[in-house]
Amino acid sequence: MCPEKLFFQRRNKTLAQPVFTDMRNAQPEFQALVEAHSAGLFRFAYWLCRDRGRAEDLVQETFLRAWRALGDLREARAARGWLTTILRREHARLHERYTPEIAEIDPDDIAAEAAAPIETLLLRQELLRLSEEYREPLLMQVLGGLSGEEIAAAMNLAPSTVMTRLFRARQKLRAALAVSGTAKQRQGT
Amino acid sequence: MNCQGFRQHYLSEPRSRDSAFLEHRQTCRACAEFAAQEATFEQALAGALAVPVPAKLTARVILNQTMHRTRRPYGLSAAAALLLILIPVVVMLLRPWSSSLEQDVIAHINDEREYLAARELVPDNKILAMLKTIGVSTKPLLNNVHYAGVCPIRHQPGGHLILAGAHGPVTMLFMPHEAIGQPRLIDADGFRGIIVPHGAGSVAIVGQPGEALDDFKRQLISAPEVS
Repeated sequence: MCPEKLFFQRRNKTLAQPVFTDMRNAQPEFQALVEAHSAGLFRFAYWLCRDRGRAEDLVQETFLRAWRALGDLREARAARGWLTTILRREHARLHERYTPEIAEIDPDDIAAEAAAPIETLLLRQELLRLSEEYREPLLMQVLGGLSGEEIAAAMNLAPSTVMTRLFRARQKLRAALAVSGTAKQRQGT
Repeated sequence: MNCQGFRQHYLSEPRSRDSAFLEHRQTCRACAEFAAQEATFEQALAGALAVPVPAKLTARVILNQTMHRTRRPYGLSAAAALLLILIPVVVMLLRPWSSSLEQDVIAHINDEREYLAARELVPDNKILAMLKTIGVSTKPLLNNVHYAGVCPIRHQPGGHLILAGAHGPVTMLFMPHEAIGQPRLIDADGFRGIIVPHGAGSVAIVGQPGEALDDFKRQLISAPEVS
């Protein structure tokens, strides 16, 4: 096993006491957790499955599982990474059983897309063209606020691999924007 | 960290908290300008990903969690119900005699041990409301009450109070349906107590060994009365 992976495994084992030690009084803290992270998790889920209904289901299931495993949370600042990991696993589990229906278009999506600037639409389009190995770490970083090391731990990858993927993902998105900018300039001349 | 290293790192992790990265940004003007230019792209990216979040998502998540926290699968509920029916039957078969009031008082305290650790003071109006629920009218003379709740005691509604004593928490169990002729002493499981007649029922006062239970009995005599 590579030394970086070993480091993260050991580090995780030596973490402090659970955050939620008194489960009878955990409800207010759990609510604070939901308030702090539900929006970010929803957006992450949406970009994983591209369906608002399924994204909400994923968020619901993530928090249910989080509630049941609340004793496993070792550090309050690790909550975001912990929840993201639960959501990714849940998405992978549901994705295996899910068969997309034809013409699933959410009216909210249409309205949101219609109001968005062209640059945003272009970035969204390119983001969907990215392969999952590039898209997922980028989503975890931008939406989840996870560091390269946290993403590496969540995805069971070496930090250097994650950094390379993040670099390439941005490179591809920038390239798409640059092409679009050139095309616009040509149209203008 | 040199300029090339900084820029490469920035293009992978623009919000890095790495100390060398942050220090280079502070000290190198060219790289600070580079970061400022690239920030436009980061803003555009964040904007593209920020799809609208459904209204009241947080409230729905908490509601769902609350429902699942209390709900149990039907199979489990059925098994639990069956056990609840079978256990008393088996106990009755094995022990033809019924447990004494003293034993039931101690068993109830042990079953709800977590309330012994209650620390918040319960306001008088809450104590009054609880006692009223079980049919007791009261004058609020009970001091330092840390818990007040209605509990089933010997299949009848009873009142469960925790008060602060000199040697630890003192439990008062109001049992308006348990009439006794004479006071009864309790000495079991590390608890000492007394059950005294009270109105048409009785009240158990139980604390740690050495606790001056008479003080609590006096509070009781001038306080709640069975309506």
